[in-house]
Amino acid sequence: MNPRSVVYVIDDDVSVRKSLERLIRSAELSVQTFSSAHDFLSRTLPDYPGCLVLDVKMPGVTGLELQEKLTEAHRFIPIIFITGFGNIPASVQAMKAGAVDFLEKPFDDKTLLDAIHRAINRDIQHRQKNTELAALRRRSESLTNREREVFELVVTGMLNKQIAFQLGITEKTIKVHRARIMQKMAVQSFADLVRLAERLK
Amino acid sequence: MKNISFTGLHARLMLLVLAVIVPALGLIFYHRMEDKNADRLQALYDARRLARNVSSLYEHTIMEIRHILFTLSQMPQFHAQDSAACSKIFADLLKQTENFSGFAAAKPSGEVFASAPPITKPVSFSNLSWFQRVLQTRGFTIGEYSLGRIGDKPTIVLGYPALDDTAQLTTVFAAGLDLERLQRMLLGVSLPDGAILIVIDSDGTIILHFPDLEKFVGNRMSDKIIVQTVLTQKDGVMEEVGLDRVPRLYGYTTVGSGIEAIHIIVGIPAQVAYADLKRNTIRDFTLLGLVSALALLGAWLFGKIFIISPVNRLLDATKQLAGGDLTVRVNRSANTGELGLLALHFDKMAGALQRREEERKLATEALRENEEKYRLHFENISDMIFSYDQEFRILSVSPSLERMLGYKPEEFIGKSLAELNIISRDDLQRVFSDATQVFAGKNIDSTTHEFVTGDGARKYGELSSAPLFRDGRVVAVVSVVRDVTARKCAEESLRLSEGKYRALTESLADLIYRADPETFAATYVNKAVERIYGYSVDEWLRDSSLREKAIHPEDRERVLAFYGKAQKAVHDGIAEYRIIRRDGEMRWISDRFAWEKGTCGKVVSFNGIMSDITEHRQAEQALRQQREELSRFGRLATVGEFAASVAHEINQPLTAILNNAQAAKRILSSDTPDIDEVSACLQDIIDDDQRAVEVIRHLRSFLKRQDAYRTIDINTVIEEVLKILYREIVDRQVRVTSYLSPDIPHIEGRRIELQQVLMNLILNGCDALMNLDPQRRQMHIRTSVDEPNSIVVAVQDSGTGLDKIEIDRVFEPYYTTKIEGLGVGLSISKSIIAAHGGRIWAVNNHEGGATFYFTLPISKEKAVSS
Repeated sequence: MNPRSVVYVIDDDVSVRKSLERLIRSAELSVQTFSSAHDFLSRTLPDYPGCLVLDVKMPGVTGLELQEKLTEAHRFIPIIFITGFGNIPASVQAMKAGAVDFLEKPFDDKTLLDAIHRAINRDIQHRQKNTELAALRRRSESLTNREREVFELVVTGMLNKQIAFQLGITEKTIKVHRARIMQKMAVQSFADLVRLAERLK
Repeated sequence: MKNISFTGLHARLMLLVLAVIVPALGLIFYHRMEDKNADRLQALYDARRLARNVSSLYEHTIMEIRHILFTLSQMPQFHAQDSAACSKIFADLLKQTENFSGFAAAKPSGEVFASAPPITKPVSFSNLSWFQRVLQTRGFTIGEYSLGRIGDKPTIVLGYPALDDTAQLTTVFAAGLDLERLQRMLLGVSLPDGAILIVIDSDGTIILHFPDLEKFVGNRMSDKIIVQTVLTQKDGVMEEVGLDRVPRLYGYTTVGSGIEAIHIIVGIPAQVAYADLKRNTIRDFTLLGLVSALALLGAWLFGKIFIISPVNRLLDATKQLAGGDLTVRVNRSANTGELGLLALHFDKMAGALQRREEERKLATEALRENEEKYRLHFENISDMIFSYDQEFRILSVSPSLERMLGYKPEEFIGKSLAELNIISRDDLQRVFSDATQVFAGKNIDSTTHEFVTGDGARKYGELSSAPLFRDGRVVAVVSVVRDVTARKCAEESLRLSEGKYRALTESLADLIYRADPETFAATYVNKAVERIYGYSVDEWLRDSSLREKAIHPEDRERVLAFYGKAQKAVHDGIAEYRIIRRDGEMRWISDRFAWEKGTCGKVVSFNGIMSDITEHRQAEQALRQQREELSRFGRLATVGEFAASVAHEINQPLTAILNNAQAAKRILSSDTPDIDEVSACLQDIIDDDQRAVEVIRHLRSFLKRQDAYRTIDINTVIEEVLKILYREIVDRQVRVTSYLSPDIPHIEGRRIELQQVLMNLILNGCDALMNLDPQRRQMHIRTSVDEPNSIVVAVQDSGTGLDKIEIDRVFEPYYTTKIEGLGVGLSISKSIIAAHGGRIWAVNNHEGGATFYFTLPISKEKAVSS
């Protein structure tokens, strides 16, 4: 388990909030608690993987409304909803909007902690994907204009000859460009290159 | 036609024509005068212009002669006074010019030494005036008129001196100007017909006269007015009778001056000057005469055809009409114009007269018939007619007297009203005073009096009297008496019954009104208006706006619209609304109104009864409030909302407790358990548990707070519940019968809670009946004293009953047989009854359905007292 991950708990009920904090901490996870959605939104969070344990029914901004706001702000964070009584329409809405779990109070500690682990893993994966993609972008940005042209044509499956004809340069030059592209994009095979291109799209 | 004379229409027409002609005549005269004056001035001007033209010619001629004489004076032959040579020159000159009668040359002594024509004996000019003037002036001289000194023609001599180098006068030339030739020359100026030209010298001697030169030349005319005027005025115009006795218009002028002056006169005869004028005048008068003659003729003919003959026809017709022939007509076809209209109206008048005559004949006939009829009526009429004179003596009386009063007419005639004793003593005075008014010319209509019949019975008669005039004087009174005894009786009984109904309506608490169907203005209202509105009957009837004004402002628009609609559709109805009494108090009233239709179907009155429903309304309002209150509580208790709220409140601490317990367990299972943390967990568990307990306590106290223990009559509670549930019971078509023990003891309890229990039982029972036919849906509610210290209430339904398990479990919480039920109703009921110290149970009936019972302990004091 990544020690540098945080579970954020938002619940307006102080005793529930406190008991949740204690339970999560007993599973050796760091916890931050908030008494309202507004409180949470106004705080700058550390750039660690984590998840949100969110009460559905709260005065002011409700859990579902907070989920909406985060989506609108493109802040990706897995959410585990907890609710006093099972409300099917609300849970459906929450799951559709990307919630990880929807737990009915009171709940088993294992159920909650499993859900938290799943959520944190998801966040970690998401972050990794984002980092890779960023690196890939940087690499593709290091290509020259001509190299980019060649790159774009190569990944469509065109032969060197065809590319040379289309761009009006010699086939030999194309070969040089291809080698440079492979080197800059840090790939070993043509297949990897095509996969990279897919991800960049 | 023969009768026409000039004093008639014809003469007047002629006069009319003349009246038009005379001004025309005057106008022509006036214009002629004007023209004459203009012509005169023109002629005078012409005459003077001619005179001046002649004078110019004359002057010119004299100038020529002077040139000739000057030329001669320069010739050497004359200086030498060579007689033969000079005569020869003169002779040649005379041959060449025609204007001269002769030439001569003389020595300063007057001795003529040369001449042409030649002289036979010595002649001397020395004693001639012109010669003397030449010697004197040593210049050109015009001599006077002379005859035949040189030659024998009328001549005027012109003298001219010849001077030598030393300015010594050597020779005097004389030229004789032939006056006849001069006149011909001067007449180069053309004169109008009949005009005369006269030239006179300075002493008035006529030198030239055209025409008749021979007759007048040489005559001295200085005594004539013309000549005198010319000699003094020199230049001008005048109108005068001339030398030949002919009236002329003269113009004159003068050439030269002094003794050598020549006066030229031109005269134009008046006849010539006014010739055009005269001709035009004659023509105008002729035309006027002709036109006048034609106009007179036209007027004569027009009058004859268009006026006289139709008038005559009208005249003839009128004469016939006067003679009594009403059938006569003018029958003028063209009925235009005044005469046409006159004829038309004459015909109409004749027609009207004829018609009227026929009508009169018919009317006379009808009158005779009527007279017959009236006589019959008079004799057979049921009303009694009689007349009397100033002394109230009966003059005539109809035979109906016998029928009405039982007397014979003969008995009455000549007798006085007073002695007849047919009018009751009380009314007699009034009859007499009325009669005096009738004698004063007034009509007295329909006064009712009491009459006395022959056999002493009383009758009511309606008396109408009218004066009978003769020569503008009232001579008698005619009276008609109608027997109204029957009507009087009917009126009296009607009045009695009316009084009865009036007393009835007046005694009613409800307001009864009659009003105008258009304006809603009250025509009748009973005394209740004072109670309901606070206004007296008089005030209400006097001010028709009170009714509308009294309507509560919030209701006014709606109510007026409602009445308006009902009025339009003639719909009867009920209106309920608030009014503000005169004292400002608000009341609810209900107005049941109806539109009364007359015999011909027209709405004649707007009637209604108003009731004060304020108390009723207030009771309704109270009931509604009670019901709302109960249903609010009931809803909270029975519907899931309350349960959900309670569940959430308890769920929160439970969640926290579980979380804490699990955390503690995990901490303890670790290798190095943090005891402090576990302790904190446990503390939180305790706190949360207390919180949960608090929630439940709070809930209990909430339930309790609604209601307090009071002494209660259970029968009242049941009645209240039935009232509250009335709608539901009716909707479900359930017949509820209550058998409530009248002397049921009071109990101690919470009214709303007990209502709640009863509602649950009744509604459950109703639900159990829903599967049955409506006529079999029955429910009985009983109250009775059970044991010495408690009462029992039974709610029995005729439904399907409960099965074995249901009977045992039906009071458990969340147990329900109903799909939409929550299963708390009966469990809450059970807890309520238990709290009251009673029991609740259910049994199945032998005859079907179930009965729910509950007991309640009897109130301590009541139990003791009873």
